[in-house]
Amino acid sequence: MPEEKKNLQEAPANRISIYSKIPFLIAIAVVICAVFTTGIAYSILSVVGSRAQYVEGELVDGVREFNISSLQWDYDPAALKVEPGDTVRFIVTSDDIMHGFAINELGINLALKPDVGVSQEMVIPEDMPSGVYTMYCSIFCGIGHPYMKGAMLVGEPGFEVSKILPYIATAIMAGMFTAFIIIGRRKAK
Amino acid sequence: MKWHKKLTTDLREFGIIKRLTDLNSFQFILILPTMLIFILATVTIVFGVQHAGFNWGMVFTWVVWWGMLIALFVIFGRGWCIMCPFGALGEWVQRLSLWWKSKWGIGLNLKYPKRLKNLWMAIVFFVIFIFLDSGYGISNSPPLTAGLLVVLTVGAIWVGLIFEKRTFCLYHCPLTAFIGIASMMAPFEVRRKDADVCRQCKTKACFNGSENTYGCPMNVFQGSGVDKNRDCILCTECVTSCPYNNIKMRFRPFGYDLWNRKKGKLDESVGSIVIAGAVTIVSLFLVLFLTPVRSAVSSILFSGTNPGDWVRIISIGFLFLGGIAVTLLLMYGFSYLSKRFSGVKDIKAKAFFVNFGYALVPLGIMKFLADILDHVLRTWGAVFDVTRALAKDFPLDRVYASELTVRQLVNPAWTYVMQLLLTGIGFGFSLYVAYKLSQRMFADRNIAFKAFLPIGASVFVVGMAALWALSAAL
Repeated sequence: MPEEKKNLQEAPANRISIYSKIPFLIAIAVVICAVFTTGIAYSILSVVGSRAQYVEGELVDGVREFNISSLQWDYDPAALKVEPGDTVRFIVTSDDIMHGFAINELGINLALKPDVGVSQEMVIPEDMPSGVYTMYCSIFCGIGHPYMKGAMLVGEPGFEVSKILPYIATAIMAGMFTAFIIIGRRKAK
Repeated sequence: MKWHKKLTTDLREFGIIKRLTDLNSFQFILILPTMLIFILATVTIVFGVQHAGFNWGMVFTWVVWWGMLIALFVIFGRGWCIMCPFGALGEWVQRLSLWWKSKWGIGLNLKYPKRLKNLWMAIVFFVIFIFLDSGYGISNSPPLTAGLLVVLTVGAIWVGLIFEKRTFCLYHCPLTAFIGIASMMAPFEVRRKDADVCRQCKTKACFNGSENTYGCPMNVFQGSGVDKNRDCILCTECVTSCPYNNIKMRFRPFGYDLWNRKKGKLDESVGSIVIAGAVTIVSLFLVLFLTPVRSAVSSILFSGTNPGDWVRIISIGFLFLGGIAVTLLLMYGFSYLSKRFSGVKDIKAKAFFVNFGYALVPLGIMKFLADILDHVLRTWGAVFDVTRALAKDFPLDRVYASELTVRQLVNPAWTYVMQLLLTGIGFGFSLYVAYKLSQRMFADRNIAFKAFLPIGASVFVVGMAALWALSAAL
C-alpha cells in the first residue's frame, strides 16, 4: 500500500508539461507573429488611408494651383489629383529643414530652403498614362528620408500591383518562417 | 590553382594582389584619392553654395560616400576603414610618417583603459550621430556637415596623440560599432593560415611590427586565432609584417562570424539590436506617430526657429530613443520566452539575449541598404549636375547648378520592389542566423528548436516593422 501511494504521488511530477510540447510552442509563436503583423499592418494602412485624401488644388486663372508644405518626413497635402492637359502650379515650402520636391515623370525637382516658397508651373502632358506617380524628397533629410513620399494621381488608374505587394511580401516572409519551423521540427525529431 | 579556388583560399595567390599587399605603402595608395576627394569636399562645403542639394561636397558626401559605405559593408566589412582619411590622419600625426617606419613619433602611446575596451561608447556615439542627423539635419546642412568633418578630424588626431595605435577607430568613431558589427556579416576575411606557424613564431611581427612595419594598428593579433572581423580594417599590415607569409585574405560564406565567433558579448549584441532597431522599429514609429507626437508636444512647448525647433527635435528624439528602447525590450522579452520555451533553468535570460542579439544583424544591414538604395537611385542625377557646376568654379563651388536632374535610375515602383527584396533577403538570413545560434547554444536539437521558436518570432516581428514601414508611402 505505501508503495502504491508513493507511485500515485509521483505521477503528477512525471507528467509532461504543456510547455514542453512542441505543437503548443509553435502555436504560441504563430499567434505572436499574427498579432504583431495584424497590428503593424492595420496601423500602417490607417495612416496611409488618412493621407490618401486626394486634393484637386485651387483653380486660379485656369491654372490648377497646389500649395504644398513639406516637413520631416511628409508632404501636406500628400496626395494630389490632376488630369492630362491640366496646367498646374506647384507652390512648395519647407517648414523645417531643407527638402526637395521631385516627380520623376514630370521632370520636376525643386530644392527647398526652410520657409522659402518655390513655385513651378507646368503642363501635365496630354498623353500621360493614367496612374499614381510618386512625388518624393530629393535632398537627404535624415533617417526618415526614405519615407518622405507622396502621390500624384493622373486620370482614373486601374488596378495597381504595388498595392498588394506588401501582402505578398508578408506571405512570403511568413512562408520562410514556416519553412524554418518545418525543417527545424524535422531535425529536432 | 584555378582562379575561383584562389578567391576562397587566398587572394594573394593572384600575383598582382600579392605584389600590392606586399607594399608598405599599400594603404597609403588607397587613402590618397579619398583624402584628396575629402579635402575637395570640405573646401566646397565651407566656401561653396550653402544648399544641401546644390553643393558638390554635400551631394558627394551624402549620396556617393554614404551609399558606397553601406554597400561596401555587405561585401568587405570594414573595407571603408582601409581608405578612411580621418583614421589615417590620426595615424600619420602619431607616427610622423605616411607609410614608412619612422624612428620618431609625437604620440604618447598610452594604453587605452581596459574597462573602456568595448563598443558601449561607440554605440552611444552612433545613436547620437543618427539622432543629430535626424533632428538637426547634419546631412542637410553644409555648416553642420563641415562641423562633423572637423570633429572627426580633430578627434582622430587628438586621440591618436594620446593613445596607442588606432584607438579612435576602435572605440570612438561614431561609425565603428555600425561598421564593426556589419563586418561580421561580410563574406571576406583576413586570417592566419597555419596555427602551428604562429605558435612557433617568436617575433609576433603581425602584432608588434618589424624593422620596416608597424604591426596591426587595430590591436588584432592574428596569431591568437582571430574569430571575427569586428576590428580588422583590412589594412594588410599583418600581411606585410608576417615573415612566414602566413596570413591569407579570402572570400567565405556570408555571416560566418555571427555564429562561429568564440563567445557572444553584451555590447555587440546590444549594438546589433540598436542597428536593426534604428531602421525598423524606429522607422515604423516615425511613420506612425511623428505627426500626433508633434501635435502633442506643440501643445506643451513653444516652437523655436528652424532648425532649432524644439517641438520637432523633442518629438523626433522621443520616437527615436523610444523605438530603440522598444526594440531592446522586445528582444529581451523574446529572449526570456526562448528560455521558457527551451525549459532550461540554469541559463539566465540575459545569456539568451547576448547569444541571439546577433540574429538581427543581417536584417538591420539589409534594411539600411534598402533605405540608402532608394535615396541613391532618387538623387543620382544631381551628382552630375553639381559636378558640372563645380567645374565652372573649381574648387570653391560658388556656382549654382542650372538644374538638378530627375534622373532616377530605376522608377519608384521597381525601387520599392528592390527594397522589398533586400529586406526579404535580410529577414531570411536573420532567421538562418537565429537557427544556427540556437544550435550553437544547445547540442540537443530538440531544445535548440524550442529556443529558436520565440527568436524566430522576434525576427519576424522586426521584419514586419521593416516591411510595412517601407510600404507606408502612398
